[in-house]
Amino acid sequence: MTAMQSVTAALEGVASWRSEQEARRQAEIVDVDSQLEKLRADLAELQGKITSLEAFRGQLEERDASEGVVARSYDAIFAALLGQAAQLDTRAAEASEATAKRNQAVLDGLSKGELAPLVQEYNQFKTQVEPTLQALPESYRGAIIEHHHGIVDRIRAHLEDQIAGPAVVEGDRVELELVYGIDAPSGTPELLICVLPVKDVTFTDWAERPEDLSTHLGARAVQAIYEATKQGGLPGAQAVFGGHQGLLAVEVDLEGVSKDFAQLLADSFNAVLKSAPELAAGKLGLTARKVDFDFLLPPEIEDDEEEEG
Amino acid sequence: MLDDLLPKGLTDAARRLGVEPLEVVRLMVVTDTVSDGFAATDDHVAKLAAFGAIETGWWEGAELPKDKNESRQRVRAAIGLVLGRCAGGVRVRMDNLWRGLPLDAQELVEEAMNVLSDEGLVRIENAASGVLITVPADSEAQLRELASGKADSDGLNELYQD
Repeated sequence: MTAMQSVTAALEGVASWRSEQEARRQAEIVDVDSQLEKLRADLAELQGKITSLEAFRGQLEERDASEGVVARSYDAIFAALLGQAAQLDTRAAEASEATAKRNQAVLDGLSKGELAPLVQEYNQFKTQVEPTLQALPESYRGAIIEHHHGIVDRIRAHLEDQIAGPAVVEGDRVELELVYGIDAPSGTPELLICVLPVKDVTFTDWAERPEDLSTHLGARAVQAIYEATKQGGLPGAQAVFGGHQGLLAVEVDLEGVSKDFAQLLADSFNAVLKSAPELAAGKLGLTARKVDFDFLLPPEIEDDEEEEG
Repeated sequence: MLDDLLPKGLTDAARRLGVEPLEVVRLMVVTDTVSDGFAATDDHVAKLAAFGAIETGWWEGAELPKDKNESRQRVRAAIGLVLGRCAGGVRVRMDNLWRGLPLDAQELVEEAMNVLSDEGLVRIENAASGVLITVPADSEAQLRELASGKADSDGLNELYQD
């Protein structure tokens, strides 16, 4: 016979089991709560990522693919033109050297050719006669000066004949570009901006530097612009010149010009630049390239305009 | 010495005319006289000067009024010159007004004319011959006051402080 267990002891056993069950249940609840808390944290993190990605996607949808093109184009154009301006400097120096050599040869030849007596007389006048002119009676002075002018005219005519046309440069052809933009917001040309591959000092310091191929290249471009404004019914157009990023920039108010000005200007550039003898002799090619007007404006100006708009 | 007889170009023409080289180009274009290599003989330069009404020596013999402020003194004298040259609606080439002056005085007079234009006291306009200036009849009296120093202009006063 098995030992008899009292009811009390039996119930105590049940109570003990129940207590253990309760402890296990509480432990499981803590564990589940912990897992739930971690999952909720992970979910919150994922939701944050979803929100961020959705926002980025929205930005991508709204972003203009051309953003930054204007500023990059501006930088690219001026960098390219500055490089070309340096090439022009080199070629201009070569052309000046060729011209100086050619001119010196012509001047040297004067003293040996048929005009030698005239040259001798010219030199004699400048060194011996001219300093004493004031001491002579007016009638003598007038006759001598008139005779001298005759000699000068003959020598000049000979020089003009011998030095007709620019001196030819040895070397490879250099291809340059000028860029221009026409602002015509309502279809009618309002403003022209043109930037040349010419350093601005060529014209800002013109009085202190010798005239050279750079001077002529700038002058030909400006000639083409004025020819076009004249043909476009604006003979009084006045260009404003100045340096921008070290390059010569030209700005012309086109108010009142004909609507076909863009074509007139393209034709004028083509006619003037292709036929300029000094550019051909200097083996320089200059092509006019029309670009978006905004590409020629400094980025800060462009931004200002957008803000104002 | 013989170098002096070589053909003259754009820069030399600009020096003789007292304008910038690109103004010489403009004058050549509007007179249909663009030459090979922009060469300019004495006759050519004289024709450009005549067409452009380019004159020199406007300040020769001109008296500067008594004024403690040198800038105002110069501008008052310039206004006097404008009144003398433009009275009765005559239009004159504007840069004649400062040609021959020291560079800083040239800039001052040019700026002053632009200020007067903004204030409606002179009229500046572009023409084939060049930039012209004239005095509207109804502003002559006010300009005389400015020239005499009896009146002031806000715009000009700002200029004198620079």
